[in-house]
Amino acid sequence: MHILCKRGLENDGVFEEDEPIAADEKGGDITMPVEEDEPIEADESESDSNGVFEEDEPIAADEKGGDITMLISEWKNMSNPLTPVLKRCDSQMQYCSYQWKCCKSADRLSDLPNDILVLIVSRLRLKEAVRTSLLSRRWKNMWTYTAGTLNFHYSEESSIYEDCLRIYLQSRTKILDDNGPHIVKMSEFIKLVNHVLSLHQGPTIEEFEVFVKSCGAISEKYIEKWVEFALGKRAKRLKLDFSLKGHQMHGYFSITKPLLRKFKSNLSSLTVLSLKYVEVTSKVIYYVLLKCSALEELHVAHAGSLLRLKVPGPLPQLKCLKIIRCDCLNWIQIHAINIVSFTYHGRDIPVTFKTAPRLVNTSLRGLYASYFVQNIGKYSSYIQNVESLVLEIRSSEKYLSDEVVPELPILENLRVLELDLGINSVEYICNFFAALPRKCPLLTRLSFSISREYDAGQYKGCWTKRSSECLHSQLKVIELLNFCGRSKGEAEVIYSILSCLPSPDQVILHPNLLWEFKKPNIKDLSKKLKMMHPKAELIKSSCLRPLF
Amino acid sequence: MASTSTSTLSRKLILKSSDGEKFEVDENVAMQSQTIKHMIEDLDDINSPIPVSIVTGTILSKVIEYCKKHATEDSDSDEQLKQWDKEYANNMDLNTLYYLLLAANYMEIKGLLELITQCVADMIKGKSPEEIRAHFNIKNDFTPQEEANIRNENPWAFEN
Repeated sequence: MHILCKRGLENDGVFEEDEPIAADEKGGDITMPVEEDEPIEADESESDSNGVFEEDEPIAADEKGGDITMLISEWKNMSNPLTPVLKRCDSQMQYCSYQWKCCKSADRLSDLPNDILVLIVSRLRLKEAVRTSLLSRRWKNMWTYTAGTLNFHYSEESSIYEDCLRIYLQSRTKILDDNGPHIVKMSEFIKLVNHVLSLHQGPTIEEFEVFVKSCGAISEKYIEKWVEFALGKRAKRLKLDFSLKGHQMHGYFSITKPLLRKFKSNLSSLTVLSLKYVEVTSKVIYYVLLKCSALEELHVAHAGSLLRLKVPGPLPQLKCLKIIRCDCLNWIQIHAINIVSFTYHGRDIPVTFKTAPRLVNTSLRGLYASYFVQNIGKYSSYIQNVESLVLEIRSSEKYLSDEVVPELPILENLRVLELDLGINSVEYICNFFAALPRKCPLLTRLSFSISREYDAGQYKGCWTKRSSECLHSQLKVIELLNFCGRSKGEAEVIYSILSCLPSPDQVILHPNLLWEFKKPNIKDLSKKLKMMHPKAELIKSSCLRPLF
Repeated sequence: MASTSTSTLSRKLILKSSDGEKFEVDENVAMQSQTIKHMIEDLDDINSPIPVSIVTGTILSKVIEYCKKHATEDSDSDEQLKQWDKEYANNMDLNTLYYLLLAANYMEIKGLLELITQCVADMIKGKSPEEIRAHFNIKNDFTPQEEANIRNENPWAFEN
């Protein structure tokens, strides 16, 4: 169904390959427009000859030209070092005259030179860029020169709404699954990607992204071609996500050292590398960190072959490191002197920083987070500069099981705190929240979600007195994340927490998808809130958050 | 070091537009244009007006407004500067945007070129091909058959 497009334009020859002017630095491969089939009306300017469109000898051919041309010719004779500049002036001159001549034509946008149109197209996502091919002949192949984003998205997931319904119904996963049409759709998707890549003609791209969520795996040979394409085009951001539907621990496609080695000299262009459900070994990641000298962000998620992560310092350019659910990891050692943001979601393995003076965003989840909270005193020097912290706090057999949960150290710089709470003792939770204003004097935004079922009626006595620091609190916003009003127990815990916090300006409810099914009544909450914090405004956020 | 930077700051350049209008600007303002930077590196006498051949006075004054704002960035936060950029671009009509694009491209002012190309791209985003044509006055010169072919070649791009 996809007709392979012939390279270049058949009729207007916009992209002729070898013109002398095209050699200037900005133009790259793209040459200047020569509108042969649309001669410009000659009546607008009498002094210029048609010579401006003959690209071979732009100046010499135009002796009667206006004083700008004269000026440039004069300069040319005057000083040789200016030649490159003048060359640019020459080519620009042509546009200029072209522009003035076209003053009355209404479509100035299409009159702009190719390199500018390519810059505009490069700021569109792929779909929008391809849509411009329908505008006019001038635009037909412009998108194939995009230096912007090539993003491909394919999901066999029923809408998240249906998913939610399924989770809500808790089982019967079969009801919405039907693999038949998916196989056809997936092969269409592969064709689509291959088709677009075969058409692309620009020398570089900014971003290459493939997101696939499918029932069956895509053949490795295709994915490998795609990765080779991205690296060959010196992509600055490479994002791959190949997840399978259902419970999948690891990826089916591996990035290997030989693959990367083929593009050794291009690796220095990468600033962002995001690999989800893509297998990488410790050695591959080490190689990436060594060779990608501009790498600012590295995300690795669900890579089962990653056994150790060593970030070899000092790597001053590395700002952000996200390691999520690489469940076979044994340890993480980080030496990146300018690291700003660190996310780890996984098991309780040793995670060490050589130094992290600029670490301001930290997000920890999974068993490691519980381990971290239990031992938080040991880590106070790493988190003393942290401004934004996300923590999953969960009681398990191993950690945080008893009533006495370690206290937070003083976090002088903390402004934004997000907590995912699964602590058994509600009393402890309340004490913890009541202490927050003292522990985090600059805290302005506090978000929390309750990810554990609490029985109703059990915690009524837990209301803690607000501490006196509340008066000086900076706290402006409290957010209730993942809220669906699922049980009385949840509501009671939320009231208990709200009662011990200082008065915010706003309480924002972020309902999750189940909200739509539960349709909870928030009158109770709003009434209780008025009692506890008369000035706080209750807002329900309109966007539904995904469940997890 | 400090003395050199002050002396650089105090130097003035004269830019001359295509229609002969002259603008006196600080060197650090003008130097945001790579083209001018290259020109003056090679010129002995910086007192004579520097011709910005293809840019009219009206457009050049807008370009200078941008360069001035961005030459003194220390006074504003990134946020404020972004806001200023946004308002600056939003205040331009389409015609001015086209000329600014040409000027920024010719004068090689990266930030301005990025700003205006983004502004035009934002006008394209979320519109159907028909709406884009109407917005920019683009004449559809395809035959219905050609148009159908293009749609068929990349049908996914034209789905909503």
